[in-house]
Amino acid sequence: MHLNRTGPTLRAAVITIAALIVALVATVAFAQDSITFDPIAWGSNPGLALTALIGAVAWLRQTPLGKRVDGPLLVPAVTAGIGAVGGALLEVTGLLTLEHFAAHPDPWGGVLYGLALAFSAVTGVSLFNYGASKLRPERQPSAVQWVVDQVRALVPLPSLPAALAAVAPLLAELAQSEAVLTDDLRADLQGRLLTLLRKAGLTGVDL
Amino acid sequence: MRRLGIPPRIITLFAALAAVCLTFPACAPIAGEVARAVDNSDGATLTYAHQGLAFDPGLTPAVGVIVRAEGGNLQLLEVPDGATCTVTTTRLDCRLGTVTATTTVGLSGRAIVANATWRRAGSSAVYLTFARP
Repeated sequence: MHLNRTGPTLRAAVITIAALIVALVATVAFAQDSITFDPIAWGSNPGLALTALIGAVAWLRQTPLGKRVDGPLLVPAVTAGIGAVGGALLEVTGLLTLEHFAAHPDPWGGVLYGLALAFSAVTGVSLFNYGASKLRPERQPSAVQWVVDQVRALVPLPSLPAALAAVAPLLAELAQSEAVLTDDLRADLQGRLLTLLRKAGLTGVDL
Repeated sequence: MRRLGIPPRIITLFAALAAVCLTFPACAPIAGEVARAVDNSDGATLTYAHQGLAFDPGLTPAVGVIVRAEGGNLQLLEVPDGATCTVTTTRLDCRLGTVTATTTVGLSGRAIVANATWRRAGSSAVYLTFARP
């Protein structure tokens, strides 16, 4: 039983299941030859175009030039720019066949198509990131810092050096561990607390 | 009363408790007060029952329940279904798992002090309470 690790375990399970589903879908899609690098289809298949746009922006941000592309304004702006230019190229080259966009004069139908893709990409990625942040394990603060902070908060200033000296062994112990509160560690700490209080004079009950 | 919202905090409280206790020249009179101050229950209780310790989870199930006890001449009389308990003559460690209703660990001994920690489903917060008569 490791219920104290339920959160991370659940997240790991969800991520694993999601990865398996993605792998399964991708395998099926590849087997059916429905995933192809087909720029020509970008003008007729918004799904492929959207994937390509997201990939292009992600790739750009990995490059030395694109490392500056960050933040809630610049990323959508760059995405919109790439989308607009790409959409315009699709329309100018006659590859944009989607009725609603192709009906507009060159290159504005393509620009509109690209902007629509960019909006979808930014919104979709934001939603994905939001969901991913919920699955990501919470960052644990430093246990050592917490100990020091709490001692500082609970102990009068004149007694602080003595208090820190008293918990020095525990600080040293925590400093060399991740201090993840497993069941065993929790039980151990409970026991140490009882021992401490008994030594301090906490009276027990006869059963 | 300080809420143990994240795992390291419980370690912190134990450490802080040690610091406070060891800082005072006369610890004994304040030990009970310290125990009460650290107590961080969200409605669950641990009580001394007739030859046992009774854990009541409150309105909602408690998960990952651990009951620890110290005393003299401890004897484990009854282990609740699904629980895993280890006992020596001075210490008891019971992992009760998920507790939905009042669960009693059969125990006898002298001068027993005990505490329990648990979580709630969907939360990483750890709660702590000490046994009360």
